[in-house]
Amino acid sequence: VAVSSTSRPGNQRAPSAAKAKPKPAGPPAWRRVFNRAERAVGAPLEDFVGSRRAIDGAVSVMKVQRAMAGALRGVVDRELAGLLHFVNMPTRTDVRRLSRQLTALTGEVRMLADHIDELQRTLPPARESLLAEVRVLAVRLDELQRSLPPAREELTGEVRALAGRVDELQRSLSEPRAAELGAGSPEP
Amino acid sequence: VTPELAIGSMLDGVRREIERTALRTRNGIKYLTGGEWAPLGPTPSDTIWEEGKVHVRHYRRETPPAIAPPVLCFLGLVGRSYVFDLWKGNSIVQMLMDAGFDAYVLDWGEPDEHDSMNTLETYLGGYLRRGIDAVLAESGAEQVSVIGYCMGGDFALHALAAQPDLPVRNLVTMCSPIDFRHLGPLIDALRDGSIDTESMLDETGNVPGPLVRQSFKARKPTGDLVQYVNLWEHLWNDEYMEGYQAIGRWLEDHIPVPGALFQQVVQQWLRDNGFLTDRLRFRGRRISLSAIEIPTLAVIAERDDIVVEAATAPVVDILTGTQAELLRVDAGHASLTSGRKAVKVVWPRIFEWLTAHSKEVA
Repeated sequence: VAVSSTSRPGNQRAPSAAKAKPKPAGPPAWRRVFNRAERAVGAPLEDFVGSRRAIDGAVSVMKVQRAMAGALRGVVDRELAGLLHFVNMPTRTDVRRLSRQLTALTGEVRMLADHIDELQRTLPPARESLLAEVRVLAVRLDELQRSLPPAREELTGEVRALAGRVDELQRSLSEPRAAELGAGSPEP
Repeated sequence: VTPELAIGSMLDGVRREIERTALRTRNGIKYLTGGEWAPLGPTPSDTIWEEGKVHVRHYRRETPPAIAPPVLCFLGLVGRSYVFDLWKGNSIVQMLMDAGFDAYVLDWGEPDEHDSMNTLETYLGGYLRRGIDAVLAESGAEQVSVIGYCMGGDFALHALAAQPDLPVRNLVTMCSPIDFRHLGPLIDALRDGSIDTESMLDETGNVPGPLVRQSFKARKPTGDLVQYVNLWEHLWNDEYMEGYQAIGRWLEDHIPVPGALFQQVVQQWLRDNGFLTDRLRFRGRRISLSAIEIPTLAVIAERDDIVVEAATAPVVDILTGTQAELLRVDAGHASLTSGRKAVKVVWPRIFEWLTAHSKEVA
């Protein structure tokens, strides 16, 4: 751990050259008097407010204040709520409840946004693996294409043979029908 | 001292006071009528990504960045992100750009009722990751460096422990508490359950911004009075007023903390002291800071009375997966980001470290 400091060591004396310099003017007399008076009052006050006793006291006062304010607000809110609900108006509590629900929803949306972000961050490796697979497939496709010509010729031969047979069948089908048509036609 | 010299010096003093009183009157009227010394967001920027209330700003630079990767800065869900661009001459993003970096700021927005159920997972697993993706898309880089200030550093550590695949090259945490046993009686009361977390939520389901502000202000009961006296003393000085207004505005401007996230933080960070005890959780599973393997710089402010050194220093011991470095600076919690020392000493040291762990762009 490296430690460095910008401060001057506390008990180090100033060099003699500095002694020769004229002393900068200090605060005016009225300010010196004020400073003394302020410290005389301020220091014990700071000690007191910085004590645990003062904090505990302040907490107790705050609790009492909150309890009283809460009780008063409860009474006022109940009376007011009856009146406002009677004329189909929402009360502050209703609005606040809605607002809380909205806040919860906003929070969920933010959470989803964070999830999406995280997914997007984790996607690149997945995309890489997909790309690798695509590259393998491309190589296999090349191989297939290279091996295709002989297979295609074979297929072409077969297709031609099949086409010939189809022709024959068509012919054999059309001849009897023509004979039937010739035999069955009424004489003029 | 001759009587002539004494009279001359007294006359000089009277003349100076008369001049200052005239300036005080002018500035006093300007202050009371809402005059601006430090306009909000002085460095030009473009919003390059937004989702809901969260957005990322890219700060415009005239020349291409000389160092990569770009730097993304963010806070926790307590203060406003304009702390990284407070006023002209004291803008961290401007300093970053001057040092050769491309600067981005992630702003969590101001949570309201609809964000009350947002959790650590919502911010660190959703918004942060997508925000970083947006920076990568905008810059064309493959990684970013992250600067997390205060709770922002804790966010970064939690996020990186849970998602070591986040494209982050370097991490700088600034005044980020790790050991929550040293943060004073208020945190102790939350830790031991004396303060019920439910009781801190308002009707919107969030910890209200003013309550966060009050909890900071209560530490110094005479703080407001001292601020007013400081104001009177320096009201004549426009340069002082610039900083006074910018810092004062930021210190008063706290945002609500989403209720669900607050309860997670209290349980995991405070009660379980999870950073130290390896009991942090993310999406239901246990995570460990030892999973972080990127170079990390932990900046500690020696005069920080909010996040004391005992709470921040252990970070170097628990980041066992990396070479973590500690940078102690002579500053307080807020003065780490503002003031002459921050500009002249603190940030140049941080940029030096970042540069050493980045690469020059051809």
